[in-house]
Amino acid sequence: MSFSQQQVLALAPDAASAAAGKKLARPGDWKNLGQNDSALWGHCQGSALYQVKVDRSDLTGKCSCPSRKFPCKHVLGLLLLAADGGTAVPAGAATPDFVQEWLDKRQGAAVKKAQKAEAPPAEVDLVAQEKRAAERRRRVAAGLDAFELWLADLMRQGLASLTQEGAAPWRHQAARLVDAQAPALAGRVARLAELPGSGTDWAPALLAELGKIGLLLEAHRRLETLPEDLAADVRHTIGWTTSTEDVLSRGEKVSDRWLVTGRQVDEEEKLRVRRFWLQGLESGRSALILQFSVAGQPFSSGKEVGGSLFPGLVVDAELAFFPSAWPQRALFREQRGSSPAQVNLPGRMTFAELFTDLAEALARQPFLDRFPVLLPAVVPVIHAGELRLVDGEGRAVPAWAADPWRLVAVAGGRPVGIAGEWSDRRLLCLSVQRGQRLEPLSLENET
Amino acid sequence: MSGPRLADVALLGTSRQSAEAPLPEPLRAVAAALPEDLDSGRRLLLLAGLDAVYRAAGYLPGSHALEVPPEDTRPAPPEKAEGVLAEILAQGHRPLLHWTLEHLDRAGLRWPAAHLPPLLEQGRSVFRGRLDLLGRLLDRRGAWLASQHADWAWALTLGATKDPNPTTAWQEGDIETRVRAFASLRQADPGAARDALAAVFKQDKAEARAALLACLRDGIAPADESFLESCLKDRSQLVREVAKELLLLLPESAWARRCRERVFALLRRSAPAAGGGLLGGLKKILGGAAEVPTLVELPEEADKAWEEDGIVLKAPQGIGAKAFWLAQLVATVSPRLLAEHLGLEPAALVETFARHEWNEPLLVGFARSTAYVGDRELAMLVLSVLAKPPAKMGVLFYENTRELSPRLFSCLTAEERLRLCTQWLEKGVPPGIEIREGLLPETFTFEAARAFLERLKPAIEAFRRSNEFHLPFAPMMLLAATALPLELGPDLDLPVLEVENNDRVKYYYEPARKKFQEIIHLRQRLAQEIPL
Repeated sequence: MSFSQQQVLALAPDAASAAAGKKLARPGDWKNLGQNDSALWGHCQGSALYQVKVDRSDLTGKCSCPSRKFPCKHVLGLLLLAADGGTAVPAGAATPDFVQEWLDKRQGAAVKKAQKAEAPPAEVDLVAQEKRAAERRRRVAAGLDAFELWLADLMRQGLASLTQEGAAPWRHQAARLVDAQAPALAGRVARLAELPGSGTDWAPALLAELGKIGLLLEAHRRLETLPEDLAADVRHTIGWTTSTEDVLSRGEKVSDRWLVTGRQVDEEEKLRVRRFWLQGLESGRSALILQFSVAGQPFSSGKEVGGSLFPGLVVDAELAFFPSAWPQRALFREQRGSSPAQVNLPGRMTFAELFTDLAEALARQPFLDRFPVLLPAVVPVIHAGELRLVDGEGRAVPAWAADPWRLVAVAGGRPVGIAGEWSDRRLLCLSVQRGQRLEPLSLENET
Repeated sequence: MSGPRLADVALLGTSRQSAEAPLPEPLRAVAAALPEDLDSGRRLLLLAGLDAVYRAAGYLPGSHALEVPPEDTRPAPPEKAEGVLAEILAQGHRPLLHWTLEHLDRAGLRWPAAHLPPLLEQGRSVFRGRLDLLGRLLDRRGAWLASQHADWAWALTLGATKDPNPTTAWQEGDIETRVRAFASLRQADPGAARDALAAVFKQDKAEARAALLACLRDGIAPADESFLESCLKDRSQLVREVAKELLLLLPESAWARRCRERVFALLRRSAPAAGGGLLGGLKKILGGAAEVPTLVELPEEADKAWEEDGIVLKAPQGIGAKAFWLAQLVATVSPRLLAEHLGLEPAALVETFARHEWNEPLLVGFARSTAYVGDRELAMLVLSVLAKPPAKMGVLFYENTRELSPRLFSCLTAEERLRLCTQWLEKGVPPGIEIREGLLPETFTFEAARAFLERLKPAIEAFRRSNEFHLPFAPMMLLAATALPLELGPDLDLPVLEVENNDRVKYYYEPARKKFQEIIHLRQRLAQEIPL
């Protein structure tokens, strides 16, 4: 697999690691460098001599240093040395034992996992399971009823008073929803605390959010009568989870060459969520892969969440989708290989087409909060200090990018391909097409 | 009904206002499915939910008229070079950035678009002396970008976008643009330039006045005297100092004559003792030291007339008033005229000043007048004294020599400067010298580079063996890192010293060595990606 510097830097867990990795991308700091079709390896002189290796199939690396970051700066340094076909790492060598053992171990783990996914589910105590599920349903229903009462009362009393009350009422309601085992809804409610008084349009924005929650509560009350897929969306939006095994064995399966189009990290207290948007180059399907990091630990990087993904990578894989009326979130069921590829960004040429797609998606799944966007030809501009994207018909949407000026500079007033997501009436730009390469727009959210 | 109107209801609450509100036509049928007896709060909540989803699905973008900027005139560097350029920018090492700009310019390339914002963020001062070059590298896209960001407006008048009309630049530009425009005006028509400056002089801030006034050095003539004299009364000390500097270049000006008379009356050769003529002559033949000039006692109180000629009367804390006055007075006389008055060759004069009981103010004054007149030969003499200062020099000496040494260096040729620095590697950097940008030439010849490295490596070894904590030649190393020819290859690798149990090496030498190697490495990478 060949890869670019930008793609390697996109793997960095934070900006500090990226900078440290760059400093180690000097042959003078390395010994015993080598690479072949399966792996890259070398010894890096740090506080001690560290053994560094990278699996070429997915650019996952391992290092003997004590860093808790993943990948560490040594792995990044090694990848950067070999990036863009660099000659600093001699090619064609036989895989050394310490690398081969690790590759074998990875391969073995992948086989075991696949076997586990294929294996029939272990026998479970169905009666006890159903009893636990019924108890949870009861607790969730009771919790949602109480929350709806509070919301209705808020509507009667008026939102104006909220500006004086701060975050306390929202935190209190969120905590009660956590107790009622509705964690996803609890998180959504906790985030609303930022809205009251936050700008001139805070009241319509808050009302819209509360209204959607109101619809969700209403839908939950009628869960049994909803189509199965939509019911799954409602449950998921409230906080029910679907096990990985269930998704891998029963989810809708789609095989394709999947282009990673964007990456974004969101942080909530102790949890960090890394989202990757994928686009099937043949099926035209989009998919969302989530990776999680709890309390500063490395992001989950198992095979089912794709290992090391980065914008511009094309993964030949079978995905299994979570049940949904508009399936987006998915897991990797099988990866057959991956490599950064030169592609022309697919997608919609005008916003009119894009928002027609969005309308169709919302018609099927009204609780969608993010929608993937691929625009092969839009012009980023700064207007009154704010970023906008303008399509070929002269239509503009508000946009956001970690470094808007970089985006505007790259485009230079001419159409470029942009991948991102539509959420909350603005377009979050995640990657830009340069030549035939997709480049992530920033690591900023990971610092 | 629009969103904000529903929000108005929600702000007040349904206990004060009906939850019923007109909805968009297609939503009315949906809303009709809600039970009649629904609680007003819940009803508003659900209507808001329907409205929110309806609006999200029917989002209509606004319109925006695009202006297509002109195409760049130069090609972009290869994409592979962008990573190195970004790292060079992140280094924040100005000489390296300047070297990089020169390299791109020689390759006929522009700065890569993706890295234009951080380049513009550096600010104008980083590119002082390279603004035309920067203008070429920003090209049209850089100028277009700068035109959209208030903090980058300084870049609008550079290179490709430079205003071709110097009058407009002089009237409307920022200070650096105005200085450049004024300098070209001065070259074209010295008298008209001076009159133009005099007409607007009082409207500018002190720093701008000083910078513009300094441009009169080019083509200075007796016709400038009257304006310069008027500047001696300027409210800013900075401007008065520039005026004195320029009047020093007009030896027949009234100010120069007044100052000469004043100083010549204070300083004279002592009369030869009886028979001293012969003995003195014999002594001179044998190379004995010249006689020390007599300094007529300075008055206890300063003469008010001095102040009118630009002498500052109040001495700063820690400096004796008389020494302070004497240094300034000596600085008002052209150094060669002073030597002539005392009947000494300049070298002998510097030597005798160094031995004088008032050596500190005499040397400071002489150094300043030398720097002001820009006399290369005298500058070399003064620098040799600064390199080996007499004993017991104080604040007056060191504060002034630190300020003046860059100006004295600028009187020398690049080769002379490099030769001095190379000597200092061997003999130690003099305490009165501050190593700043511009001290070393921007490029070393092979021969000079080899000589520099040949002395640098023993200097490093000497540091390792010494007990010194300070590494005085570290700034010189970093300046040399952008000037040494890359073709020297492995010769550019500095020795790696053992850091274990050696804090001096760990905290002083190693950081400087790493930075040096990092700069060399970045240059090598760029030269590899963009060969010339």
